[in-house]
Amino acid sequence: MSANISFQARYYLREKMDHAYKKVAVNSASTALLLRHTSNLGFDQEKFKRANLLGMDMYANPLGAGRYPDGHDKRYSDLSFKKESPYAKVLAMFENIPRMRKIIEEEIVPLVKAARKAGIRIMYVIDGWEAACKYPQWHELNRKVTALGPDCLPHVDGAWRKELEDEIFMPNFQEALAELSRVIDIAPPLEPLPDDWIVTNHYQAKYLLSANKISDVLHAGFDTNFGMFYSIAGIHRFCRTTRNFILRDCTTALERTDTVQQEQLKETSLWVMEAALRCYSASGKEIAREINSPIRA
Amino acid sequence: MQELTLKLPVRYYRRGGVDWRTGRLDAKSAGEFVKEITLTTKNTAITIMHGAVREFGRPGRSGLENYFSDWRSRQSEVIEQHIAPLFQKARKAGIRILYNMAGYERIHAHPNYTMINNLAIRALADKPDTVQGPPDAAFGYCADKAKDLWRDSVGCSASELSGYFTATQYPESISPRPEDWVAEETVQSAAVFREHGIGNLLMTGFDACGCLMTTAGGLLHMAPLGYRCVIVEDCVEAAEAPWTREGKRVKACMLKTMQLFGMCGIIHSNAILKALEDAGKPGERTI
Repeated sequence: MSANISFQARYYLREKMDHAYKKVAVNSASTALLLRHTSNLGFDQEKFKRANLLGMDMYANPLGAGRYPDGHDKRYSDLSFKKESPYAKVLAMFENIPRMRKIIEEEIVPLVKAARKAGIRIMYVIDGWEAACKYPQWHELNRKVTALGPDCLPHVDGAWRKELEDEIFMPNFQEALAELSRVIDIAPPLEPLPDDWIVTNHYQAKYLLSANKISDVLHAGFDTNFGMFYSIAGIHRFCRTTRNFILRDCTTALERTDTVQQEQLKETSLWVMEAALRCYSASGKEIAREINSPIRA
Repeated sequence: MQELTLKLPVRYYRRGGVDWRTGRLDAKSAGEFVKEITLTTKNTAITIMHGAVREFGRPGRSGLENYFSDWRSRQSEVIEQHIAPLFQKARKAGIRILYNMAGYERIHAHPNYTMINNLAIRALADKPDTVQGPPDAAFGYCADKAKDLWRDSVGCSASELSGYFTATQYPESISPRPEDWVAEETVQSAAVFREHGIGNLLMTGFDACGCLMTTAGGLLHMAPLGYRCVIVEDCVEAAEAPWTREGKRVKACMLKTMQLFGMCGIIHSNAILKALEDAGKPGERTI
């Protein structure tokens, strides 16, 4: 299946020092939609509530619209932590969980549906979680492409780090994070299909992209300012290879007390990716609309 | 040279928690705080990412002057007013300086390059290949598309752009000395630091929204190896848009992000200069 999809792309025109726009066309056969860290954090509200995880309804705020019926595939993570569980404290450090869930439900799910319809390949990037092991397609890929990573380089004693992390995050942060990584999985409404790609690093991503002659990559997922930007499969790893489009409405950043009001870290990260990392940005909603348009149908 | 103990007031960010009743960050538990860290002139190095100044003067591309002239003037100010004084005092105290020169041809002419590269080769001698993935060249089939943004945004490809720079050299005030270290790969930096027992890095250079973070030897390569990284905020600079220039919002947000994810602390060079001064006073503790 192959279809041409055109949409408006934004970029930073250095000569004018301002944003500029142009219409671009991609062919679905040579395009992939890359979903970064679209996790189940914040889903499965019933389990959260039943376990009295945080002692309150995590989604009582207006951002937490939408619910999923309990009792879906048990393969998805079990986030029924005890109230005193360190997991609960870890989760409380991700202030963007409600925003992520809203974006997954309202923007990414319709886009993925449209992308599948058009024949665009879906790639899930889940580095740092153990969930990849659950997917047969990842094992097959991992046999072909493995990344041993920075363990091969000379390390120094990082004992100071634990003390710092206890202070800036929480006591025993790494242990709690490691435990959490065992139960994080892909968000239920984005359940991968058997022929979707699951990767845990950019080497695997690039292997699949080049082997399938993918030249255009649509990037969605989290966090705009770290996972999408800097992680082992971050966008800076792709800027010398494919043509990249960041989907502005399909991402959000982890913000701080002094930036959260205007989502400054998200906006700045988008600008840096446009101006310095050679990426276009686009609207996921527009792409989905274009695919679903009556003329095309 | 006598080893001095330095006490540095470094700013970190405490992540805190969210009050889910409001969905808002709890301002009481989250925010920036100062933590005093103790290090020595022997176990600490200063790194500078891409400190060479590129003169943009080739005729015919004046359309790009806006972007680069703004950037260049700010870079020069940072070098002369902040980095140069820091280097001068640090050298006197015995702190070593490493120049990250990824992409600079002149790196191979530095007297220490071969020594450092040999250390790196030795460090990797018994290690397996780090990756088994396709090289960037495997994407030759989409080279035209990949260059699209550069043509739109800059008007030429990245390699063509480098041809418009008439010079790439360090200003005299911060130019590398024979005793300094130079590196173009993370493993070279890591190998020379290990050889000299260095675990603390005071990071300077350009720019805060790109190479300082992502290029070999940058923050995101060194922090995962166990190095305690501290960014010297007035010794770095970032590209800015007209609407972010006031308050240098891009630079500020990049540093805030790194603090937020626990990758680094932040300090002003004045605090380092003061610590060096205090450490050098008679009666101050040395080790």
